[in-house]
Amino acid sequence: MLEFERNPHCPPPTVLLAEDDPGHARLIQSNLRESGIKNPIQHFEDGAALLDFLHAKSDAAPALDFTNAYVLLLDIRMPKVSGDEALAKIKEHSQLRLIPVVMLTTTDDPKEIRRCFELGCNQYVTKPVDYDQFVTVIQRLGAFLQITCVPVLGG
Amino acid sequence: MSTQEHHLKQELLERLGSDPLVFRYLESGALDGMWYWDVQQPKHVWLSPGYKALFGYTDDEVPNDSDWWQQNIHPDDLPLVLDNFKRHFKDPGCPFDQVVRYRHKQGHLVSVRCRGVATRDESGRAVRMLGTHTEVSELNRLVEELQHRKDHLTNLVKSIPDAVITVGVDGVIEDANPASGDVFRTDAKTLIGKPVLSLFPPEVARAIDIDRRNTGGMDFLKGAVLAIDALRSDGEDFRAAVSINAFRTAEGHKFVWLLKDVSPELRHEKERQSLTRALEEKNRELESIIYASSHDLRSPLVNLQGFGRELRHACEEIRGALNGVELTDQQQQKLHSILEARIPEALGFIDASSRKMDQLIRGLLKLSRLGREELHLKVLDMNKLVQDVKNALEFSLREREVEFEVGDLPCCIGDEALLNQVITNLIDNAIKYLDPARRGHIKVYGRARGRQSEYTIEDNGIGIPHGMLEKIFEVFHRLNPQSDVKGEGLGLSIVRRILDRHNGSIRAETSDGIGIKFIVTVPAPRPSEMNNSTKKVHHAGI
Repeated sequence: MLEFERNPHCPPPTVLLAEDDPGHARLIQSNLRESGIKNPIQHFEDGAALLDFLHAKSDAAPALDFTNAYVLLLDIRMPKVSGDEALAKIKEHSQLRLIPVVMLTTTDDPKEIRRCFELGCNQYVTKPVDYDQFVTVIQRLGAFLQITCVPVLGG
Repeated sequence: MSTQEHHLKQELLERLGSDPLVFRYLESGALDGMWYWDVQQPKHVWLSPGYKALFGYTDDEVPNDSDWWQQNIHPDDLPLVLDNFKRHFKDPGCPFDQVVRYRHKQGHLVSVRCRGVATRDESGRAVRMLGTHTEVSELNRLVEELQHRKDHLTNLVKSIPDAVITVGVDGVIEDANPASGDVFRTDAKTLIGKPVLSLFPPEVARAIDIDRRNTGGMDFLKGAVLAIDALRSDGEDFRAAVSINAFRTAEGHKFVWLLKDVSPELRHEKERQSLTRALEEKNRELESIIYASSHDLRSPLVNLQGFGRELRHACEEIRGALNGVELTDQQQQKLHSILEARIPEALGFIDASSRKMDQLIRGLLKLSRLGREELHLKVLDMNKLVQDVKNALEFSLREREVEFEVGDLPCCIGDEALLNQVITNLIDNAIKYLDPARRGHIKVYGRARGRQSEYTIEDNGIGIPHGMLEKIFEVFHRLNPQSDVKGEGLGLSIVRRILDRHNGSIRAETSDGIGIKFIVTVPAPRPSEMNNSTKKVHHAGI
């Protein structure tokens, strides 16, 4: 696999994965790794856990680091705080809104897609049910993450 | 004879004595009947032929005898006539003139105006009397008919369930039908004499009154139809539809106010609206439940497929690990059957079932989305739309060597993408279910049917049994689930759903087990919505 040469001032972002289905979380992580990304991946089982982390209210390790860059893979339908609610909160926040948010969901309803973009998401990717397609999609997403440059949170 | 008389009158008087023609004319033509009576010998009377003919007799059927008329006049009228004779004889200034009834030969009554004048001797004693009859039956009939019509109208007004109130130019109620009492919850008679404005709440009455002053009378209300609040005698106000019309009487203008209590209708309309709102709300709720649950149902399928694949990989790893391991034949055979047959078979079922389930759920999602999406309605040129569909299906049509024929199609009002889906599904269906035994023939034609445009999609395929015609529109119904025809069994449900949302319809017909005909209706544009679309006939043999 072609190794992408990164500018040392633009370190690979930490991938935050908010996904309530543990099976999906595992399949996504293993396929991202399969695509060759080395970025750290941190999993949250719902929107509330994600927001707690982002607002430094959780004891998740490692804690939110403002010298670090993040990219968020966000499911929509999750208990406690749903993905669209979390998205709205993040995009309203002066610093957190810098985090690129990739919606990663089984929903392909045009209305839902439109709403997420209106709320400020940066990408929208549908998880296919067909596993061959699923593998393709997640691995391409991994490849995309490899070439993505993201600013550090603290500026 | 005075010399001042007109010379022609004088001549006429002379000729009356000498020329029988003149007398005959006066007797027969100018009057309905004539009589000349000897007052001194009362039995002696001459009755003219016209007199007798008026009652149905020829001249010789009736004797010139006073007994005859006394027997044939209506018995109730005889005393009046006899009395009037007496008065006239006594006083020439008292005219002999009255309407009396005679019995006609055929039994019915004939009304005549009977007039007469006595000639007197020097002492003033009446010696002769000359009289005439003029028929007035027709006039009487008209009077009677007028009376009947008046009764009819009175009854009509009485039986109208709304308040009908007659109002004078001064705004005072002169008459009120019984229903007025029901409407205003009082005795209708008590309304008479009150100002009509007292039937309305003060602010409404004031508004009418201001208009009245500005226009100098109630005339501004002529022909008015109003929806205003009115006031019952117990103080409750209610919404009334009021129409006011003017009519002329001998005493001048009057107005008829017709007041209909529309508050029950308004209440029903409100109830209907709130019910509709509640239903729409419930429907939206149901749609969103279907949507959310079918979405939630898809998620686990990712795992079924994903981890099935993991297991497959695991089997391969086991296979690799077993390579070179010493095993007995029996062990090898058993492992082989597990790894090469049983596990792959199980995984195959899991995979196929999860795919199938995904397809069904996708279909449900699509269906529920159709119920929620907004329609973008416009006037559609269906000739163009069908051509688009035909172009998109070109490959299948060519592959199956289908003869495809399109007639001239009327426009309709619809959502272009959704109606494209309808036509696509129907034609696609027709292609899928063609009979391999004969050349496929698909026809699309249409016609305008009042406010609807009707389109028929007809094929000569395998058709369906009569009893199944309604079933084919059900969700997940498939004609032959075992066949190699692909599909999720939702095509026609989607079609029906789309047409429902357009206030259109679809029905299927079949004849002799050959082919099927889908008849689709979609609302037609109103003439004002039509643009000048040029009509072309498409004949496309493929």
